Amino acid sequence: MSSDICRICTSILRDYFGRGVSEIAKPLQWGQKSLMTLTTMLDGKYSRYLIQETLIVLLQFNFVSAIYNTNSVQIEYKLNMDNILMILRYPKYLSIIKRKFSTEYKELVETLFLLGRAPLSKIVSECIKKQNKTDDCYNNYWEKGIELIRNEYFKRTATYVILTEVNSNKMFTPPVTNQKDEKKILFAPNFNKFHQEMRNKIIADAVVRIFDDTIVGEVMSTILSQCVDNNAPVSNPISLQLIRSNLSVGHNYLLEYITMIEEDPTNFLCKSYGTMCNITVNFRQIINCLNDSIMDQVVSYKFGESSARLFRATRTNKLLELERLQQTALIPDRETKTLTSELFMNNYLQVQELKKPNTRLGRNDGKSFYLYHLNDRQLHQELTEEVLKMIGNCMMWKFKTCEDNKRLLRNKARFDVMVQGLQDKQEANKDFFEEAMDNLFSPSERILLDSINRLLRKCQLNIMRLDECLFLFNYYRQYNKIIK
Amino acid sequence: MFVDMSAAVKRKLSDDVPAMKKLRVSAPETAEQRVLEIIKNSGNKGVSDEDLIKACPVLTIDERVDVVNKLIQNDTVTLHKVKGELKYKYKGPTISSPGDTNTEELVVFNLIRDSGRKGIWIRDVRIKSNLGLPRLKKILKSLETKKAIKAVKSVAASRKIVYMLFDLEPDSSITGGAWYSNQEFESEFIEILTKQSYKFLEAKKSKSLKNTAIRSPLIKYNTSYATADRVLEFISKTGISKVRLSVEDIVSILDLLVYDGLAAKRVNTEGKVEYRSTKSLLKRNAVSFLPCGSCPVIKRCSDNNQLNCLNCKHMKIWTTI
Repeated sequence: MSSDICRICTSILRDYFGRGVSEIAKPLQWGQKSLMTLTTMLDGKYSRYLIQETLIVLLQFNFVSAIYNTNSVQIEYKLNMDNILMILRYPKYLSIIKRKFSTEYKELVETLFLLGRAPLSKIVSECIKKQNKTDDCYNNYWEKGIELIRNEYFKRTATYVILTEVNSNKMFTPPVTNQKDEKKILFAPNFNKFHQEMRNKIIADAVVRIFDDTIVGEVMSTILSQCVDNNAPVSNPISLQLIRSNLSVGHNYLLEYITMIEEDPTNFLCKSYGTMCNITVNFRQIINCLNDSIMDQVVSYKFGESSARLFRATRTNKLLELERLQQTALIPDRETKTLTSELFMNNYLQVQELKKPNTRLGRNDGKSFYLYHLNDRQLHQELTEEVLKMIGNCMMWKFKTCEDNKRLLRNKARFDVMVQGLQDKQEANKDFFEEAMDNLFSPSERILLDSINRLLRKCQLNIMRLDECLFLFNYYRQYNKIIK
Repeated sequence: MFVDMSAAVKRKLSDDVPAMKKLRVSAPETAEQRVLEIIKNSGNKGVSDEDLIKACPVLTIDERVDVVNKLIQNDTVTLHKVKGELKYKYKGPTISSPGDTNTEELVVFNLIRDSGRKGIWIRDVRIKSNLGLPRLKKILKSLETKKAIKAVKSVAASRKIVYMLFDLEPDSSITGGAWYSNQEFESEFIEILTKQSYKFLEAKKSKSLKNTAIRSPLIKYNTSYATADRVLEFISKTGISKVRLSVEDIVSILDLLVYDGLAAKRVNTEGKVEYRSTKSLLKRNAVSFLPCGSCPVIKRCSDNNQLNCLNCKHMKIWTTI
């Protein structure tokens, strides 16, 4: 595990649970440990009780897994860093739900994100409490919760109090309203479903960009929604009839739209020609194309357009000699040498030396051939590290800004709570709040608060953008079977 | 009976005469031509002395030697040693050497002539002719003044001068093709051509997408593609290029658009390569929003290091509030 992931995880846990939890979880970053070892390591800083409480909270969110070590005959705790990194995507998950359903569904999902894992009744009651709504809404929210389970956004999960396994058939079975053991059935967010939605959205957007036609995007979305998510490089065959029945637009030219996507050089789809027209989605090909696109953008931004041209030419032609590369990319000889060496030094290009065999005289007087090529896997690894570092840097600045303006932000938070309370009771109007704001904060403080908010938003936005790269890199690893 | 027989023989002879005459007319007139014909027909295999004896038994040894020597002197036939056996091979139509050349000049001239349009480097001439450099330079100068050969600078190396026959047009590997002018790489010209080609592809795509007469999306999509011929036609009409461009030149320009991520390339059902303007698959370049995206020392950036994000002046500018 890289130090950058550890750094980000610490920052996330600090922002989400506070400094104590992040400090306690820190030793777990370097390997699984038992409670006893953890207590010894943190002796003097945190009490055993506090460590126990922290572990329970982290277990609740599945950020820590309890593993039974057969050698030392004790329970050890392992930090699930990938799950912690998913916190970065929570705003995206919520926007998916809001776009697809409505605000109430979003509120339910938000509540579950705050609880980690909980029975549906608790999720609903907590959500009502949080939104300051009356108990009459309970049934309405309950129905919505059931719909989320049916749509596989919530899944049943095991409880650690009594170790129980969830039957795979019952994973998305909703509970009955007055069921006796309803409180024992715990639900957690099904991140795979959210990821599937995110992936489908990215693919549909890419298709719209290729064809400059929104209807093609709709067709692609409909096809993707019919795919069974099993991480296979090629999806299950989907019949034309099924797509037609689920499609809202473009019925008349459906086959033409599919042929368009199929005939495009990107090869996103495959069509079988027979009595039953079935369509399959080339997921691996799509993910590879999207990853290539990210890499091109990175090279273009980092080294310039000419370097990006050389980079693409090398990728297209697999192995190229410098002279041939120059002829292909039509860049002056000297410039080609400079740019390729720059790319080579930063590991974006690799060189394969082909030596001529020794002559009978025993000396190699023949010329060696230097062939340029790409090492996709290595490049992905390095780019992942770089993106993680960038996310870490953004988080670091976010934290620093908050720390530097701690007092001001605390006052602002108190003021906001007060405003919220008054607004709920409808005791004051807008002018009153503005006047109160003028009295409590000086003009310079107000300007500073605005700037801080802008910076925090900017950092958060960039973290989310960078996380999209990480998301696609993860999918690339998954489809190309790269073990971390 | 005898008379009849003799008459028959006579008649046969008289019948045969025109045939013989015909044979004489079609047959080579001189021994030299006959020998040349035999060597020519042998092609690349060549003809040995024994083959010549079999083919022309009428020729005496002296006559045969004279004929062969004459052909070798004329430079029509060359002598090769194949598996220990001497063979004569036809050299093909030859370009005559300048009239007042000596033997050394002829050797150099022949070497240059054999190199064809690709030319020959002075070093190679020296090795093959076994002549000293000062002597060779004199010979080359003399041949240049006689306008028998010319020196051409190669684009591969600015100092490398190759020699070829005066009348020949240098090969594109020597001149660099349309992308070189006076051994200078024409980057600007390529850039203009690339821009114009992209403009054409973009116009074609938007025209086909906006065409309301066609309803079928597949036809619209297929018409948004253009072949290199069409692009060449457009470029020729605009009159940007003073050089006459070939389809191959335009193909390499369109390939550049593919490498720039501005065009997509496909092979259509007729087996022709087509191009279409396209966009990047992803809208945003995530790394471009942060100064770290172009940082050359990002690998060394660490919280435990003096080089960290809080000390970075670019990050300080980026986060200025």
